[in-house]
Amino acid sequence: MSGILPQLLFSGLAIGCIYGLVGLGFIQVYNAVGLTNFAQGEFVMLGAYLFVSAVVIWKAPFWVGFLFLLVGMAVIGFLFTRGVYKPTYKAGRFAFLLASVGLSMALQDLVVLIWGPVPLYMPRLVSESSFNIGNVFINPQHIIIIGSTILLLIIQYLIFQKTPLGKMMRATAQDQFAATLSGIKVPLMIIFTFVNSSILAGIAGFLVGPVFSVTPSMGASAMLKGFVGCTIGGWGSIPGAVLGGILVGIIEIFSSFYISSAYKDAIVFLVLILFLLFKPKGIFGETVSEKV
Amino acid sequence: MRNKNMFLRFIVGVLLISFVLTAGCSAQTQTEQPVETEPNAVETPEETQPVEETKLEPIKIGVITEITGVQAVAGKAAQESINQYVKELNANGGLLGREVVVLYEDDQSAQTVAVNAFNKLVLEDKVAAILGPLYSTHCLAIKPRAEELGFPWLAMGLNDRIGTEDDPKWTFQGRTSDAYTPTLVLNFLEEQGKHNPAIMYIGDDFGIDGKDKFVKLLDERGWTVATIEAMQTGDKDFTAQILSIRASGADSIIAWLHQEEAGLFLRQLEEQGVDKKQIPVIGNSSFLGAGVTDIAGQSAVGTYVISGTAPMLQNPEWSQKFFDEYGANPDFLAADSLDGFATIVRAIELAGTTDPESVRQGFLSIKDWIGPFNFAHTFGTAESPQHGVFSSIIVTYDENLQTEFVAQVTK
Repeated sequence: MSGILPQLLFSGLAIGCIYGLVGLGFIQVYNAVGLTNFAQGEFVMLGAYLFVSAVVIWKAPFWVGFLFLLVGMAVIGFLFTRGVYKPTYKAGRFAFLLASVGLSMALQDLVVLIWGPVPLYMPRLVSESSFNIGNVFINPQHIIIIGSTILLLIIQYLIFQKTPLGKMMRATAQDQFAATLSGIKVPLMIIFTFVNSSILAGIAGFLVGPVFSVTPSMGASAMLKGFVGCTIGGWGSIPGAVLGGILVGIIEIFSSFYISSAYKDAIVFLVLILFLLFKPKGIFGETVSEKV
Repeated sequence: MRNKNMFLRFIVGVLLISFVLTAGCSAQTQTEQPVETEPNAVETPEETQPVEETKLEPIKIGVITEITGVQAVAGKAAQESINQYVKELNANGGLLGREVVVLYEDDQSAQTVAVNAFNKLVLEDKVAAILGPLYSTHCLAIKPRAEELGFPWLAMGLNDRIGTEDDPKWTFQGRTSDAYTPTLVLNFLEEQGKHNPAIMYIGDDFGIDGKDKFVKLLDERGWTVATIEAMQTGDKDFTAQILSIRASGADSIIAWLHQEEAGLFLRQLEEQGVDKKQIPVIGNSSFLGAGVTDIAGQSAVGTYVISGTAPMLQNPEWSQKFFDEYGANPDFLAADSLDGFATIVRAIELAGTTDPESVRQGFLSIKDWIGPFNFAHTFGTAESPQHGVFSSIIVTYDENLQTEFVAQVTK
């Protein structure tokens, strides 16, 4: 049956873009504060629920729903910074890690309490059905996911490279002490970083919701795969996070078809272990010397 | 330092893969492992004997269900249907002239928590009987503890090991088990002239055992298996599996999934051009779950489903009452939970008392009892004493996404 390879590539790319967006959120927080936020997957889930609430439950137009999502995720990012990061960052990495893990569990149950456990349907931006090009069936939502990821990356690049705010956030990520000496309000930059990563996760939820359905557990898998993507791509590298996520999506789908669908997750993690053993910096990881 | 970093990263990687294999992959229940117990629990059958009770004391019945976790949709359905039933039961005089009180325990969609919930209900709450979870994985985890304590309970999982393995005495099974359902499915496919199915299963106790039974039966019939594909709970994209099915030349698809995956699978089948008129799909009862038609939409039309309960068809009056109270139609989870609870009530009624051995005998005394959804329950058969239900209904979704009767099938 012809068309298998392009079909696998296209679907793997779309799913990988979601992992890449989640990974991008991870990296931004990691670069800024040296910590990994394990509630990032639940932020994906919250973004989807916010949009569904606005558009499906309250019957608001799409653009209102999207705006509600952006504002809502910004607020969540801010609350997370104040409520989780601020109380724990001085206590060390494990305190923050445990707090974020605990928050992820609490958020899943909170969502069940508020919205119930039944999966919710998120309407699509475009036509419901797929179309085919030869033997390849194209899901329009997958095109939106890929296109949106590219657009978000461009926006992120422009923000971080061309705007004063972005430069200040980069300076904070490179060296908080030096940034403080330069007059940059580091705590404010950290808030912006968390808000930005929260919004990115929410947008990932908005993109993936129509394809997967909206459930309290939808973020968990994305979080794990995004984390793996960051490790493969190289912690600290923004292009690495995205490309690592895409690679995970492609490995997952190819191994499912060509090797075994029962063990596709194990194969992805086997690749992770191989990277940790032979290329622990990841594909684009940078060597960072530690002060002694 | 470099070696230490590498070693630490290796450990992290191993931990991650262990996490996936234990939590994300098939949850094979290790029944030979020691079961966690309450810190102060005394593990003797004598602990399960009820204290002296007066006739005015309410009868407590425990329900272990998934109120939180990935399978929380089951818990919501169970609570709604059982609460409604108990309200009516108590309004009509209760059970043995006593009020019935339901004690819910959340198993958090996790095996160890399910076992702890069972311990609490038996040892602390002193319930008369327990309705177990709807998921086989959790039922298989509870079973050794129930047998050890000598306490009667009704498991609602479908895996036939629940009611047969290790010759259980106290574990009863309230739904048509996978000892029979695969045969009924293949009989149905044979009537359709299909002999080369693909199997798509979910990688937990329920799915793996179902798949193994289908493979064995197909081999016995001399049919071919076009391909066998798996997914895990929480998986969202099935492009690879569906491509494999398309490439295999399958003339039908047997899908043994849970409900969220069922909805997504149906939708993605259509998106990838699989025509259900050419390649019929028959799924397990999960395909009647709440949310499946929301997720699948028109992709669900023409899907066949084999289920113990299809409440809108089997008991329209009750379904209407459920809708009036909760604003949504009941699904198979609500119906199965209610049927299981009603079976426990019947067993206690026949026992005439609430001591564990009498309740156990009460279960075994149930013969040709017609439950709320108009099918017979018979326990204590020579072939399969712990199983109580041997029939299923096959339905399909019509153009309006309503269930349409196709056939009533019996072992």
